[in-house]
Amino acid sequence: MSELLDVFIGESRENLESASQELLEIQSSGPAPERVDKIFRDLHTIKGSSDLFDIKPLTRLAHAAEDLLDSVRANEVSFSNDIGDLLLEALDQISIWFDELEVGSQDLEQWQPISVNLGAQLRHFIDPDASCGSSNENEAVSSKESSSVNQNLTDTQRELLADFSENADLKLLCQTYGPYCYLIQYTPDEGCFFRGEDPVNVALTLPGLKAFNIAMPELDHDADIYNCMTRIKAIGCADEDVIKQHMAYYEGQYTVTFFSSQALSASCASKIRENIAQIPDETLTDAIADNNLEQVNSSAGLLLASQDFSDADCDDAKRVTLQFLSTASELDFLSRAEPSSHAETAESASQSISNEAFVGTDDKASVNVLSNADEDAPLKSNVKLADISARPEKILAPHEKAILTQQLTLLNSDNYKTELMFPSIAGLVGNMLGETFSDEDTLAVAICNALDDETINEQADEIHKQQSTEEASAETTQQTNTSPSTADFSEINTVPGRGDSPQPIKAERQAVKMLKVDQTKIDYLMDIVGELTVAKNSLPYLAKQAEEEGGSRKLSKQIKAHFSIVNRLTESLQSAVLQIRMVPVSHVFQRYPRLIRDLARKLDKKIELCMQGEDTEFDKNLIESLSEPLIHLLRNSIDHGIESPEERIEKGKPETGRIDLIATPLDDSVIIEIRDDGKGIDPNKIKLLAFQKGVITESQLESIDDNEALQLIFAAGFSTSEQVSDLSGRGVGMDAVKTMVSQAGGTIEMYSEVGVGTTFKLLLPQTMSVNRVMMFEVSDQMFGVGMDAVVETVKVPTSDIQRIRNEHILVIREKLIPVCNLREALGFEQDVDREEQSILVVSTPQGEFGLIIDKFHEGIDVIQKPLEGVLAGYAHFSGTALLGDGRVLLIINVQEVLAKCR
Amino acid sequence: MKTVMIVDDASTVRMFHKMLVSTPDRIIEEAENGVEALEKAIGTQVDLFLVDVNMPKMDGYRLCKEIRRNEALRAVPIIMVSTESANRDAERAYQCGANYYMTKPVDADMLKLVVSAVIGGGSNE
Repeated sequence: MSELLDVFIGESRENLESASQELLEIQSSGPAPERVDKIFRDLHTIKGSSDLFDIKPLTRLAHAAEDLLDSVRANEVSFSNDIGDLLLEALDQISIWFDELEVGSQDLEQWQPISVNLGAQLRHFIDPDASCGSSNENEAVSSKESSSVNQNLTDTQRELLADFSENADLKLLCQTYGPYCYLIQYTPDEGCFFRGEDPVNVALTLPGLKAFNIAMPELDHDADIYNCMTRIKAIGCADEDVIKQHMAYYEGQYTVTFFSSQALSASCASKIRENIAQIPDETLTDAIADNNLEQVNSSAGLLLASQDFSDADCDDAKRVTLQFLSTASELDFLSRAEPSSHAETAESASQSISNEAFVGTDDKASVNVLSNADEDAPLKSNVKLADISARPEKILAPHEKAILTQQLTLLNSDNYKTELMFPSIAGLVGNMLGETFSDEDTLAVAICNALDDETINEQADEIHKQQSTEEASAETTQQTNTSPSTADFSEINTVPGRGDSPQPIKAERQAVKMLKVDQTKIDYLMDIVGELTVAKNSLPYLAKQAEEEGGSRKLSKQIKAHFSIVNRLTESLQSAVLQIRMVPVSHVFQRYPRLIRDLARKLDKKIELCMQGEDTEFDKNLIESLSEPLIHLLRNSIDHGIESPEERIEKGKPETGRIDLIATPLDDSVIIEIRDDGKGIDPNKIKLLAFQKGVITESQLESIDDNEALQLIFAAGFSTSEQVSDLSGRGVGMDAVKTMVSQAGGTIEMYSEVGVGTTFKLLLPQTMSVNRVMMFEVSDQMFGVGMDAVVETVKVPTSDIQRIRNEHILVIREKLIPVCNLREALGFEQDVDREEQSILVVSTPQGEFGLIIDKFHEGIDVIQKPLEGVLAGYAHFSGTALLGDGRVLLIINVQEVLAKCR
Repeated sequence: MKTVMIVDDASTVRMFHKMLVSTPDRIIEEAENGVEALEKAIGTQVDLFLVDVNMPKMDGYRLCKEIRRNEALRAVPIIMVSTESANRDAERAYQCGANYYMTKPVDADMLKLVVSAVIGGGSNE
């Protein structure tokens, strides 16, 4: 994917997001002009940019949406919720397309119908009558025709054919092979050349094309030669679908009518019989001899049409005629067309005609072009125009001429004001022609000389006259203006000159702005910082070594002193990098109003979402990985939590349900709460279900309290929904949410009160930062545990550990602490009896626990990496970390290990 | 060294135009809207403005007027580039003081040629 496309998608996504946000605002609080304007600009930007990449379906859809908004803005159309919904749908569609573009799986062919459909729906709001008018008309025509196949052509169709050329019906008939014929009138958009369209080529590639002609209006001498002025008509044989598909990009620029070939044949039959009888054999040869093109052409047309009657003599003559036509008149046409290299139509027509393949395969079509071109007076005038422009001595490129002509027009325009426009025009023209100008007259003359065009010279004369009359008045105004304007000038000029003046400094400050950086670069930086953190950990080892092996305490001390410096710098570096990655949670939160609205509508519930603390900052990766679980929780609240409006009224609650989404920073963590005022969850129901599903045992059924019971919904394989709905119960339950949250290094809890509501509370680290880990040893292996979980470390005599029922219990400061032997839990061999046990006391949401280990080590900073590959299945390790001496440290997931212990 | 200031609120378009018009002998300045463009332009040497019509804060038309009103910037040529192909927009652009009007998406070669014609230089000749 190109860099430019990347930027485009990134930017457009921002536009989409802001547009849909504004739309939602409008839907809830009515259409404020500035909001409509904002959405309009967003779509406008998308449209403009997508045009760069030639993604036509996207451009078209954005254009339709933009037009609709333009009408809303101009108060021609009043904003309704339907419009809002449709616009949102369009935005969604565009977003989907961006997804495809991003992975490169786009299929423009498939986009096309979607774009046409949505675009038409959007335009329907702008003008309910016109939008469907043309296509309906066509459908009506074609359906009428297909139902009355054997009938003659309608009068309109006959007129159209006659208008195309005299014997168009005959020509078409004699080449018909399909059941349907069409006549298309295609008027390309004036600016089509600027979009890289080639109308003539479009017409030439029409499926089943038989003949086409190009009409061009008489051009004024000042007409913009870069505008497409042509009207193209073509006839041929093809199905409606095929033609519509071919012309799909040119919707609104063409009208097409379809008729059956039988109808055509029926309407032509008499004409053919009449005419064929009138052609004396010698007419054709005479005509060829006299070089009478018109005669040859009409004879040929009749002969061609008589194909049905398969007359051998005619066939011979026909071939001769065709040969003659396709050589003689082609040359004739080409010789005329050649000088008009700037007249785009003629150029492309001649190009296509000189294309041998075309002439060879479809000579009849070219015959038609030729004969029409020959007759077309406007084309000749065009040639003349081109002739003129070919004459100048100093050869100017077309674009240079266009620029110069424009400057002359500007000089000549009604709005021209000397003091405002002259400097730039004079500068521009001077730059192009390498001269300097001091007044309008010389300037105008110079431009005219450069263009060396009589017609323009006339214009220039006019300017002279006009200006000389205006001069007097202009001079007086200029004089009165002189003093203040020079005063202005000096003021403006001195300001930037003074270095200490406030204005430029202010401008400079504002120039310091946001910097968009590819996220992978930051991630890379983050990785490096992580490695640096680990690498610096080797310094204490080195110090130790220096002391023990080298015997140099001094060196050891120095290394330690340096370590503290490096340590401090690394820490600042780390927090600086982490700061870069911090984004406000609104980054993710802003998608939710839309989600809630859509779901609530689907379920016929009324829900209000209140968000708080959206500016709380969060690590970007982290918040993005949380997006999914949060959506899941929100869905749950909407689907299972909030009751239907009727139910709510019955219970005496307000009709509209409320969901609070609150982010609160707490030290280095962030608490995210999702609170609904729905029906709440009954812990007893959960207990029972958990028992039924084998999540808990019978004894647990009695022992666990309500709060513990509620947490059971996070257990694997548990779903309270009795009925799987398409919203939340999609196979992934709350356990998936929990997994995702704990992968992000967070915890999740639920509180609920029946009839009052449910709250999910997520406690998440603010950054995926470096963790401080407490190292310890079990069975000669090093393990780690997150320092924030560690409460204390104690050494107690083995006898202090008592056994109550099935559990080992230790009493520390009159507190009962369950104890778990890590050797056992991790599957190591039981240790021989020790006199003293090392106990690591950790805190968990369920209270404090003691872990029996072999030996304590120091705490270190590590970058925790998730387990990958086969190890990923081991839930009792939360990750790994690299130690300063190269060893790998396994970090224990306390909760999981304890669950196994019990 | 000639300086071209590209004023467009769409960064994609700015980037595209920058790609087209930048040459070793040109300095490209960018601005997101009219206000920013004026702030940047005052006190620096700008040889050409490439201005979009539809922008927040200050649109292309107003920017043109402001440039023409400013004694220091008055002589700087302006090329307007807009998605609107309708002639009335071109008309308005000219009324506001633009020297040339092109429709978006601009023909790449054409933009290069026009810019080279107006301020000279460029790699294409």
